[in-house]
Amino acid sequence: MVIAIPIFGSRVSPRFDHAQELLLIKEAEGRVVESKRVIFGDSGPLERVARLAALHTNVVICGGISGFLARQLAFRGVRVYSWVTGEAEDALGCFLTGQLETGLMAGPRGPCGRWRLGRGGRGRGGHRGRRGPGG
Amino acid sequence: MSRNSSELPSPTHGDVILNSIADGVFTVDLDWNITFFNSAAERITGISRDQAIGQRCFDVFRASICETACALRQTIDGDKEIIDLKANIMNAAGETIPISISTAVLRDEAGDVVGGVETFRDLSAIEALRKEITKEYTFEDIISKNRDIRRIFDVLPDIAQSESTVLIEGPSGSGKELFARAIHNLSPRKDGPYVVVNCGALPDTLLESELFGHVRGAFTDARSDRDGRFARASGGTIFLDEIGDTSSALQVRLLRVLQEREYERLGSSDTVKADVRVIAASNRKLSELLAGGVFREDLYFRLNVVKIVLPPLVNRREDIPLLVEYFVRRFNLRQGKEIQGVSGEVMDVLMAYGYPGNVRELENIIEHAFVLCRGHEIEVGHLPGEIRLVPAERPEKTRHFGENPLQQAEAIAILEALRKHGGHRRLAAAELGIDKTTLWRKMKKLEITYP
Repeated sequence: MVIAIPIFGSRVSPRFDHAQELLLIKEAEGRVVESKRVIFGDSGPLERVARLAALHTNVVICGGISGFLARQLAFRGVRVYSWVTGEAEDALGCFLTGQLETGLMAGPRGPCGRWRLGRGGRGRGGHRGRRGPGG
Repeated sequence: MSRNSSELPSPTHGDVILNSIADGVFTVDLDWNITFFNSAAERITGISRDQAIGQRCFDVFRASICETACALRQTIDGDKEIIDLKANIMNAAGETIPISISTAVLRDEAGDVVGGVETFRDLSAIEALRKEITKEYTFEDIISKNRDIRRIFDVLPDIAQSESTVLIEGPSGSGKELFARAIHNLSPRKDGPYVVVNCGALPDTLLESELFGHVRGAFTDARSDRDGRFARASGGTIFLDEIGDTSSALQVRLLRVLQEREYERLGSSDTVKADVRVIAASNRKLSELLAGGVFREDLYFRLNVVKIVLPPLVNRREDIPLLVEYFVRRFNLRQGKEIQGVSGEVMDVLMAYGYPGNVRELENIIEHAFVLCRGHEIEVGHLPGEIRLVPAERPEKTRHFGENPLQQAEAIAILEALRKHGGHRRLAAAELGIDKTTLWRKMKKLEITYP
């Protein structure tokens, strides 16, 4: 399984579409067999989606992501855990132990909190309310 | 440098002042932990003060510049104030909000830096108006939770990235041009021109000259050389609307452009290369025009590389409340009004209406209501007369049948068919695929009357 975490330093990047780097992890039987950093740079959001698909990514653990991009990833078979905060290693640990959820605050000893559903509807499947003209 | 947030001045009545202003304000300590978050910041980000305080600012604010050009970092580390820096944030709903940012350092009584303050202004309204002028729409600007439209969303980015010719079919007002623009704006040609040609709006000879250009002397009034729309769209995208209305002769010329990627200006034998992506649209099914010999089969197959079929608004009623909300917001901006929305009764009428003019007609209905509405809510009396139902036909009448959604749907479908055919029962029954007597029986059962 390939897990991708857009990162900001050692933490989960706050924005999928503006993350400069990606932590790419290969996991087998619950263990990390390979981990490397990949430069995302200033590539556009759809290029990021295409690149993750090309890297055979199965899971993305990220911070903020628009509903549109989350759906684009899901359409390509990528499972998305969004609105995750904390150290990337902690988030990965939560995932490997089956404790990761969308909106989770990851701590060194597992989940240490959760973003409550905000007024805007944050949370699992909480992307909604497109802005713009009809069509 | 101290990194103790407790050294920040405790907010007291300054707090009250900061909570009363329209701009978002937050402060951070030297570890980038949020120490103050005002009411406007809560509103703009969608994150409550309780959630925000103590969190890293970038995990809450999620600005486009957090990782590469953090304004607060520049201010605290470089002692440089930032004023009106444009950026965007992602709110709790996953929406991108354009903002302008200003920052300053916070010092304690001894003059030591103890943190920073950031104020930010929501520019959504200005950005919405700018988009309306520049039409820089992307798929994220298209409102829909309809399953068919969402399926189109899934594949459209791939379509946009390709160079393939796209055919968009859908009834008038269903948003064909919006999709075409969004494809262009997401494509590698987005920095090139986007040229629209309504093929149904011009006579054939004029359209030929418009599309391909002409040289001096090509026809009586051709006093100088003139580039056509294909030349003007070079490096970009040309949108050929109502392509089903073109003549056979013009279809042959268009076929050549699509096949050979080249054409000649009128009156010239010089060949011009066409570096253009073609998006064509039709409000009629081109496949049906083939049978009547109105449209060339070879051109159809050249155009039909990727086909997108947009449903009429009646087939995506679930989008009506979203669209109404959007149009109310837009007309508030345009007209400087503060209308909150539509009454429940109006929404019932809008949900039941047939929309032969699709989304464009809904937009016109809301614009009409805005002209007449003096209060804060659009009432039935503000709607155009033709869409108002006589009392007996109003959807609330259908509530008489209880909560049975099947009967509700049946009543709405019958009313729509009757309205569409001006109350003509035989035509309405034919449209519904039922016998006239069955229609009469159902109308009686559902207590539907129509003049």
